[in-house]
Amino acid sequence: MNKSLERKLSPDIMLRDFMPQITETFIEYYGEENKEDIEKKFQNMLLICTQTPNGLKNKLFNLKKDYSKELISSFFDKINLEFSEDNIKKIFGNSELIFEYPNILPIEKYIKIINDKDMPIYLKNSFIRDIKPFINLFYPSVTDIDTFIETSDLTQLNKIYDIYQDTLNEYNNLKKEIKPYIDYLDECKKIKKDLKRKYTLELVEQFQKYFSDEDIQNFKEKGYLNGKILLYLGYTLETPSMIEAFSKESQKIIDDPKSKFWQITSIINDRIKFFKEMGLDLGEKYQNYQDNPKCQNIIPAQDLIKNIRDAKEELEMRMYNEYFTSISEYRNTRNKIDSLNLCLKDDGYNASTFMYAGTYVTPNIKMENDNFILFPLVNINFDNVNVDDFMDKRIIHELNHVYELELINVNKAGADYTCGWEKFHEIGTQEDELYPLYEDNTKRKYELFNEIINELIAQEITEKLHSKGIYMFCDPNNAKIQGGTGYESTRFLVQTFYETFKSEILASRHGNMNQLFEVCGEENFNQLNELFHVFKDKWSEFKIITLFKDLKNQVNNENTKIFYQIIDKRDEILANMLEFKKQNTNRR
Amino acid sequence: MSEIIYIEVAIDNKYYYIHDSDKINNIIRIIRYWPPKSFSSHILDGEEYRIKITTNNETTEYTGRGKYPKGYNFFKKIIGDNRE
Repeated sequence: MNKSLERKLSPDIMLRDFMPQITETFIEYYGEENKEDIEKKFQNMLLICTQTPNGLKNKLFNLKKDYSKELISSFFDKINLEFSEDNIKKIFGNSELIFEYPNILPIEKYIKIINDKDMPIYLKNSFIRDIKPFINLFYPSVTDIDTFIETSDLTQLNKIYDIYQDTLNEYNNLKKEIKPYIDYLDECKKIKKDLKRKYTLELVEQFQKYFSDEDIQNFKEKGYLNGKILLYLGYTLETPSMIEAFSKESQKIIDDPKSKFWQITSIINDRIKFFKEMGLDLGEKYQNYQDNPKCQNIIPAQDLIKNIRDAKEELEMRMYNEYFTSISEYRNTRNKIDSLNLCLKDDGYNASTFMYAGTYVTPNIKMENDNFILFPLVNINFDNVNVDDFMDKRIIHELNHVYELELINVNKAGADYTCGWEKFHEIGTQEDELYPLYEDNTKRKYELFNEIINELIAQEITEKLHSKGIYMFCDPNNAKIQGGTGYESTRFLVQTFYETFKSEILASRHGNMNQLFEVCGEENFNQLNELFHVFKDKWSEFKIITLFKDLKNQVNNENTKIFYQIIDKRDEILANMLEFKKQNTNRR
Repeated sequence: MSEIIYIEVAIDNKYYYIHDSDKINNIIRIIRYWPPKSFSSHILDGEEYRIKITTNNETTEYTGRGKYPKGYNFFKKIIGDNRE
């Protein structure tokens, strides 16, 4: 596989090859005195480059699309024709993946007409319509395409076809190279399909007393839901069923004056559809159904609606947990991890790795020469590698966490670590866990403060790497360093603190926070940490964007007022830190 | 009545225009319960979606990134974001 494809589809190989240069850059940043520690830590970790099936599917699609564009550009060069949207359409039609379905291309239809003298007339006429723009591109004055093809010298067009054939062959060569990935996605698709059926059947059986034997048998034979089952259970585990239209949430939408008209209309229409499907067709006006006793009698009970919704959510969660632990990417990596004989079985590599598509470090330990050594798993999600200008920095961010990881203690209860300024305790045993579909975003006490500091360090190391001309997954022209993470929004809290106390900060990142407290004061440090929680509680999620917009436009409102109060508090804490440092320096 | 004329969806750089009434009904059934904004502040990677629903009186927008509401995968399937 060529280097460019490897970078896009097999990032684990690329990343492994870059490790010596990354290690060298960390040593240059932290100093030769830390060389042994850096090398040891980077040798004793497992790098896992995860691609979710959806992520890989998008990548393959974009790969084929971009390559098609390149090939077409080269094709137009060879035939000396302007590379324009209009010309592309005339020869290749409208599809985004032009060479994926060659049979529908005008240029293919041209050669079919030439070669197949027994083509049915209706088909030939249809093809002639389709190839007319293609013919007129080179012979603008031709109007009778049929006669032209029968009587003219087609050498020029046939040469163009030969060049197109070569281009198509190049595209097919790419498809051969990526076939293992396409086969893998087909395998994932089949697993998902089988699991959807399995869990839908479980849902049907859970509520079977509400359905007829015939409906249930129908589903078992045909594999899809219809009739009353469809009304009650919906098309899929994910999507709301028709009876959701009678839920309390739906009624709230109808009753809320701020609801959009189309939301209300959609719910009302579903209610009408439900009544009609249940055999009560009273026309299109909802009033006809509203007070009709027969309609009221067949509305499902709220308990039932809630039970069905809860059951669907639980089954959907179980389905995705089983799906992501069944695909071969998971199983192969699981085998690799298991062969390491790590001591802590809850190693962070599970269904949630794919469900949340996260990038993170999970500490772990193994026995080596009768001693416990650190052996973390570093999971990096590569779904967006082709479009992520921050990818190099993201990798360095995680590797800096690895460098900052220190093993404090191991006993029967588990292991204690520090990572930067945070302390962790990991237990040895593992319970079977089902991971919810959506990640919990609760933060640990020092997490936000710790992460932005790690981020600032990672940005500096990445800059160093790039300054040497080493770019791992980013294009040198587009690579970005600052940004691309939610932590960046808290940079303003720490920038000056970081610059002022940088050497003590770096020295304190291995569980020895006293190095920092001695110069800035522990109480001051904790007050600064508290500001992170104040900021996050006030401006979580999209509210941050509104705040930054207000700040940019110099709007004076409650939001910006509180923000400037935080700034004042930050500056006060920093002044106290500097005073603390001065006093402590004088004492020595 | 404000009937939905069309729905526009942008997922990262991919754009979809939906005017088929059956598709619109299926889409609305899913997104009528969605919050207008759904955003993970932890990291900013993960695809961004923007949905604009146009009726003859108004437009409504939904946006999200890194955190996807219930039914998001099926929603993508309906709009045709299911490329092989």
